[in-house]
Amino acid sequence: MNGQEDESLVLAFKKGDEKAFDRLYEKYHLPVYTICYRYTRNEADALDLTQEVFIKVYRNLQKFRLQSKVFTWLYRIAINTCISFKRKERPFERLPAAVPQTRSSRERIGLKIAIDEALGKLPDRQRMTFILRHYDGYTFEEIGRMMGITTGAAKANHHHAVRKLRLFLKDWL
Amino acid sequence: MKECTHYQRQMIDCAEDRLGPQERKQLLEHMKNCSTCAQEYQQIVRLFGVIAQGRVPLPQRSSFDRIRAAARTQTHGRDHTDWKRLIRILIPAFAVAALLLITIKPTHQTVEISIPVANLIEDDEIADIVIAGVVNISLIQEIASMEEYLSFDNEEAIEEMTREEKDELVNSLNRKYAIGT
Repeated sequence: MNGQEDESLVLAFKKGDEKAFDRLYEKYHLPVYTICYRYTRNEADALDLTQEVFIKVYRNLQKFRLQSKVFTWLYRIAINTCISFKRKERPFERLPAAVPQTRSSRERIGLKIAIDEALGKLPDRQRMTFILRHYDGYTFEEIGRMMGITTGAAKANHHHAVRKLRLFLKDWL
Repeated sequence: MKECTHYQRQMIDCAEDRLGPQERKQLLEHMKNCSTCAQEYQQIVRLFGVIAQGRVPLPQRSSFDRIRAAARTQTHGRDHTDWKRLIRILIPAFAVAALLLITIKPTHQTVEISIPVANLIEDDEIADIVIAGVVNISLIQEIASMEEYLSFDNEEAIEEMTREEKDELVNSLNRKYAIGT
């Protein structure tokens, strides 16, 4: 991610250039959606959260003082929005997403449900740490910065998450 | 030979391919002679394999276009200035009222603690309101629920941290919550 370009976009937005927001949105809407989806494992919730994140971004961009990288700031908003998210009651849940072809369809759906349930059982911060580490490959230092916690706490969260997931998914391992 | 717990702490890093070559070699060597550790390591590798398989299906482009438009319209449509002003007045007023109630009419549920409780509350605005160390049971329960956030519930994980990480954690907690003051 190009930090200088991001800073220029923020400064341009502050001067009234509305298109600067569009460019930031273009650059970051998929990473934000991805993290929201991985956290909620549900398309409708992930879209709601993505919208909430960018409403906050738009609302606060004028006040953003560039004391951290734009990417870190934006991810922090996304993380906090996810953690404070309470799932809405929805009449129809979407079908599980595709999982590997090496298992039968029934097994794949079963595994997907098991993973959803296992991740859902993790405490919010452990779940988010696990997602950022495991899917996005961030270091504990980066995770700490994005979540506003220490590197040690991020490491501890991840350790707890792995231990619990092994327990929750033991029948699939 | 080092104990199993030492190697078990390295397993996650090894499964993520983040372990140094020397440590990795020692771990693999240990697992040749320890079936328990070998089994545990295989389970971690399989867990990462299973979890990694969840792909993120992307919605249609039009959904993202709607979100971009909503970010603007919903922001322009609301003025939060008045709300913020009101909240700034209401929170201290509520805190003072609560403090008066607690002070004037203490119940058997009231306890005293020696640290400034407001410092334990995450919200900066609320933290600015000093509650003078007098709290009720529900607030104590709230603080207890922060244990998860502080990650103090597992000694193993703390043990795993390096000296520097422990110092960093303690300093950061001291800065944020003024522990010991």
